[in-house]
Amino acid sequence: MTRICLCCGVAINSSTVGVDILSEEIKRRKITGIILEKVTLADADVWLPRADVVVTFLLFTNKTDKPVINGVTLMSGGRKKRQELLDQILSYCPEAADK
Amino acid sequence: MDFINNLVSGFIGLGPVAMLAIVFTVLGLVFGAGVRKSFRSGIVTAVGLAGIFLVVNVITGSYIPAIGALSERLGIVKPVVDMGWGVAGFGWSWPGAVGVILGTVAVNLVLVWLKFTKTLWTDFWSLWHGQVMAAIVWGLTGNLWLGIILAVVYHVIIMKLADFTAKENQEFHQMPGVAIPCSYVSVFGALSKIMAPWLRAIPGIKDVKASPEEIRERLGVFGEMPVLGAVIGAVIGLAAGYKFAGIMTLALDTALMLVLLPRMVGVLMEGMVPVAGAVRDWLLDRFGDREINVAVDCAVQLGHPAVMASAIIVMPIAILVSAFLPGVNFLIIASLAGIPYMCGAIVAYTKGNVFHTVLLALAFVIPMMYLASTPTIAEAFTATASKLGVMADVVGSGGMITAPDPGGEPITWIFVNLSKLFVR
Repeated sequence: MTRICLCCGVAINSSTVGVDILSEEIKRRKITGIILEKVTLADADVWLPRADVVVTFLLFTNKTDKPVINGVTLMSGGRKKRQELLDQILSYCPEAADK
Repeated sequence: MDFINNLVSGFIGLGPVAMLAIVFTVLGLVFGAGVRKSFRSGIVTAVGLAGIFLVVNVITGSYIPAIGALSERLGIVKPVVDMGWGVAGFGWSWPGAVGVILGTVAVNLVLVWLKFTKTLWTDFWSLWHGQVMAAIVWGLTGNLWLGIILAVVYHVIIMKLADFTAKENQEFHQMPGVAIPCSYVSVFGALSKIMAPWLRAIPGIKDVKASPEEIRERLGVFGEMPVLGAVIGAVIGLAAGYKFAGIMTLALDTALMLVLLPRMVGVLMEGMVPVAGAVRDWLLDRFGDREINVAVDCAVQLGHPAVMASAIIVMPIAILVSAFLPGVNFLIIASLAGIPYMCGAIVAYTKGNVFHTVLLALAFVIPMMYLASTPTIAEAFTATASKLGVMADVVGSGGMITAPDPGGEPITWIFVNLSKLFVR
């Protein structure tokens, strides 16, 4: 079970867009066992310990040994760039191997 | 013409929640989001809107008596209620909302093609401020087309401001290729670009520094919305002469408002995502290979530690100013949630200096409160609520509502006041 935390300012817009795009990709590849969670930067101390991968839509300066990926391209990138980013994010999820 | 008038009247008669469900289902179908997604989009968006109005009713139900008691005990007269982000509901449910969306997308495409702007407006959500401006113009004047036209013109101005601020935002927030066309964030970002160098030239001010980490460490818990809300509510309840139960209720209602209002806006946004995604893809497929800046949400500016550290300082000062400065006719409570965004717009120009960010934020937020206090703005918001048939308790009892974002944002204020020339 991999938990991807999508972090933005107040979990209204950017992380909602990110969850929508990632869940579409997960559904398309028929992957199971990945949890997507919208989180806010202000609560990072609370959710960071349970995150396996962090996708951030803002400058993320918290110290962590978890993979932190800039997710802005999910909002601003064309289909090709977005797909590359989705592949990068899912490469951290064992559930996505061979799918 | 009668047919169109009847159609618009019948549509408005459905009420804002039902209207929004229909609008987003249809928009989803138009932009190719598919039947299932479009239908879900309409329903979830409408649920979000209904949730916003529920929270707003709690705010007004708690605050109108409290402000009345404050007025009797301390002579602090605040006859207008701050609705904060609750007014986003007006923007997405007024009858010209689709016209603003289609008009802005069309004009943006032409202007990008003509290279008049580099900002490709793919961030659907950021249209809400312009939508609210259009809605209150309609509420004030009854002129639907005037609202749509002014909103599109407004969005063109915001595109240019987003161009003007893009480079510094990209560098400071480490977000290459993006622009942030977002009402007061763009306006105050542009003003900060001009004013921050002046601050850095003033002896005594230029060298003052404050560590964001230290400020957050000391004031951290008060920067969390539920705690901040509870403290504000308790202080107001105490000042209003409430007994313990009343103080607790007002404290928890205020915390509820600051937590649930953004959440309800989030539900509204969740409903919009499929439509917004379809619009974004449609635009990027056609213009993605150009040298452009793609519009993203202003929340991307909230990451730098100086943003929340500054906001924690600005929020209580804003409350005190709204309570005690003469001429400000509402207590800023619901709109506090917008202050971090204002600080986010400034930090790229103050280079993360908390002291300078606070000074600039106060230089913007205080005039904003005065502008939102002017009679035209409260009149326009209240008339719009009345026309949409929401907040009947407040409007029916002669109460007035306002919101500094966008009512006190200078360009919105000018447009709404100009629109009075068209009152029939």
